This record gives sequence, C-alpha cells and structure tokens, in this order.
Amino acid sequence: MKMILTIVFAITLTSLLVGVSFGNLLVNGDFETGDLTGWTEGTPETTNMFDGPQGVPCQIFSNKAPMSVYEIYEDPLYGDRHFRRIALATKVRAKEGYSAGWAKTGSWREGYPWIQQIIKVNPGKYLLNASWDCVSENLFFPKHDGGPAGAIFVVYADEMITSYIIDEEHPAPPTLCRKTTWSMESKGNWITKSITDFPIETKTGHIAVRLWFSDHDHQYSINPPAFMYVAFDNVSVTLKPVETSVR
Amino acid sequence: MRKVLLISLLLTSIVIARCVGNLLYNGDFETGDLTRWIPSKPAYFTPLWEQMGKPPTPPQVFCDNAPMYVYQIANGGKYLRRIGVADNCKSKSGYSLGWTRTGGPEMGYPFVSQILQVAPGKYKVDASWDVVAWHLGLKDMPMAVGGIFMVNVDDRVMEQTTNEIVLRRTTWNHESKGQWIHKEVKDFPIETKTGIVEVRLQMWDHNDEPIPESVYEYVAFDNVIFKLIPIGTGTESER
Repeated sequence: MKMILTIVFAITLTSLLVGVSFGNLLVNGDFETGDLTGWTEGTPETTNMFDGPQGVPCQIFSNKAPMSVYEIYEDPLYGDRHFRRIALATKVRAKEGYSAGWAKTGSWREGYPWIQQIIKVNPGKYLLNASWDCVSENLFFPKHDGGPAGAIFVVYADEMITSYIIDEEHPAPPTLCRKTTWSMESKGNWITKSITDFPIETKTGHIAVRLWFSDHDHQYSINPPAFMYVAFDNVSVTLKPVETSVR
Repeated sequence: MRKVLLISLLLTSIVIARCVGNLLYNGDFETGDLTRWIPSKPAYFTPLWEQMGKPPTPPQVFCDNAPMYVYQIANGGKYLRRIGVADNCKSKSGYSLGWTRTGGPEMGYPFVSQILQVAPGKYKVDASWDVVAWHLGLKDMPMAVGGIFMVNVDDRVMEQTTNEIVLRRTTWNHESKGQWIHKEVKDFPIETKTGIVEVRLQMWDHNDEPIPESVYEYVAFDNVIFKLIPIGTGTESER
C-alpha cells in the first residue's frame, strides 16, 4: 500500500512539474499587478558574491506613475553613498499598463541591478522559447554614441541561478543564454525581442530568468538632469522538453 | 573596583557627549534617502507583523521635482502599486519624508525610526518637527489620518503600535488641513533603563475604509530635531 502511494505521489509530482513546462512559466511577466509580485530583486542578500555597491532600485511604472530618476551620489564629507530621487522620468513611457525598469544618473559606481524569477521544472534538456519587449537609452549621449545602457535578458540554470556572472563567455553553456539590447539599437524605442528553440539543460530543475540593467561603460558618470534607463515588459518564457517521449 | 567605576564613568561621558545637539542624523532628509532611518517591515517584527497585517505603504523621501507616488493597496493587501503622482503634497523644504495611501486599508503600521543609544537615566526631551496630514476624500472628517511623532524606550522600542508608551504627539488632518505646521515638545520627562531610545515618525491611518482610486491620503514630516537633557546630573549637557 505504501509503495502504491509512493508511486501515485511520484506520478502526481511529475505531472505538476511537467505541467509547469507549458505556457508562460513566469508569474507577472507583464507586471500588471503593478508591483514586483513573483520577481526577486538582486541585492547583496539575494546574490552570491554580489559585486559592487547596491544598484538603483527596480521600479514598476505606468504613464500615470512614471519612473523616478535616481541619482547616485557620495557625500563629500562622510563618504556615504546615497540614492535620491531627483525627478520624474516622464520621457520613459510604459509599453502598456505597467512596465519594469531602472533610471539612474550620477556616479557610475554601482553593482548590476536586476530582477529574476526562479522556475522549478524536471531536470533534463529543454528548448527555450522566450519573448520580451524592452527599451534602453542614455540621454547623456543623445546621439547614441557612448555610454551604452543594456537591457539584458538572461537565463541561468542550476548552481548559477544566484550567481553574479554576466559574461557571455562563461564556460557553462548551454545553461546560459543571454541577449542584450543596447541603447544604440533601441534609441529609446520599445522593441520586441525573442529567442527560439535555444537548447538548455538543467541537472537540478532550477532555472532563473533574469532581467538586467547593464551600465556597460563603467567610466562615465552622468551629469543630472540627464539619465540612462532600461525597461522591460511582456516577458514570456516557455520550455519545450527534448529527448523524452513522455512529455 | 576602581577600574570598573572608571570605565563606567568614561562610558557615561562618551554616551552623554552624544547627547549634544540634534541626536538624529538626516532629520531633515536632505540626503534624499532614508539614511539612518529604519523603515517598518516584516523582517523586524515577525511574528508581530503577521498579527498586524500586510506590509505597509512605503516611506518616500520626496522633493517637488520628484513628488511622492500615490500607492494603492489592492486585492486585500496582496499588491502595493503606484497609481499616480501625489502632486498635492509639496515638500516642506528640499527633501521631506512621507506616505500616501489609497485603496484597501490592509496594511501594517507605516513608520520609520532611529534608535539611539544614550546613558541609562532620566532625561527631558526637547523636540520639534514639521508635519502635514490630509485626506483628499474626507476633508471634513476629523482624525481620518494623522502624523505621529513618537518616542519609545527600552523593551518597547520598535513595537507595532499607535499607543502612547512614553511620548506621542499626533497631528490630524483636521488640524493640518493639508498645510505644513510646526510642532514641538519642551522639557518632557522620560526615563530609560537600558539607554535605548527610539524616535519614530508614523502615519496613523485611522480610517479603516477603502479609499476610492480618485483620491488619497497622505502624511509627511520634515526638519525633525530631537534633544535629550540629562536630569539629575547637576549640569545640563552642552549643546
């Protein structure tokens, strides 16, 4: 009897996990809850080996409640580092309803700001299909000729899910998939990006989908009121199991 | 024994020396952020937090160029989202600190605190602050929303409450009417056994009804000064 129950439980669990593999695996990928429900923000507390000081906060915004421009500055007297809201980033329009983004000015010294979701699926090989809308721009370089801001979509698996590695050449493919939309490409316009049938493998069944704001050129401070920003919306991720006949 | 006494005296001197001037750092919020202020959030209050409800509407440090957002509590406290800009609330000067709320009432107490360490003993409190409170939908309702200046000591520090423990002064919407007003406390006696003193600024959402999306309530503070004058030492601390 105990054995039967164990088998039934195992089948049920497998069904649940496999079930997760269909449709968009992300919760609140369109940010229409108006907050970060389902997403975890990257901080020193949530990340192994968080590198550099904490980045500017992720903001869920709409056209009625636009992002704020956060200035990073260091107190000349005490050396304390501060974030302060200096203006509303009314120039940045949400894709639709609510979007998620970052807007910063001032010192370039910050860790990478990101948000992510960790998905649990069956261990195995999958084909990753994903799509998202994103926008990026650095208004300090209105001709888009410097200080690129990147909107990075990245997928990690297994031990890398809480890592701080952004290098595309990290020697662990195919568990890493990264696509960056630079401000030279977006130029402040929302564009749709997608990935089709990208092979990934997970040994543990843990997959992280991360949206990342990259201030790529770490040599420019930005003088307010100019700022750089990145935003995402309508993020969808599906996984198609491969090499199994059951799914 | 002499050594112990000497160390005790030295420690007392050091701690009392900290009582000089305003004991609060960033009481005027001119750093533009919550530096040195601790916002109320679940991590500090488990399990008390669960008894008191959901995470509160967040504290916002704002200026006229970057006003507060109107935060809506939706789906019984499940979501907390920005739905607009609180243009009605201007900062007192430079940056101020405040809270806004519309939507459901399901939330814990919104406050920020600074915890001070002074020598155990008796003190007189001298404090002053600027405060504004207003409810755009209940303009004629007294005590709909208030801004609390609160002092707690010892084991009552960071307690989830609006009750007066040591010192509480509330500025209600019917007094402020959306205008900044100046408040102060003079020579208020307090005693601390451990030397731990909390200075708290709190939004008192006294109206437990949902607020329609078209309006909101708010409370804000600025220029908070807090001084302690030791009692019974024979000499008042230099300021």
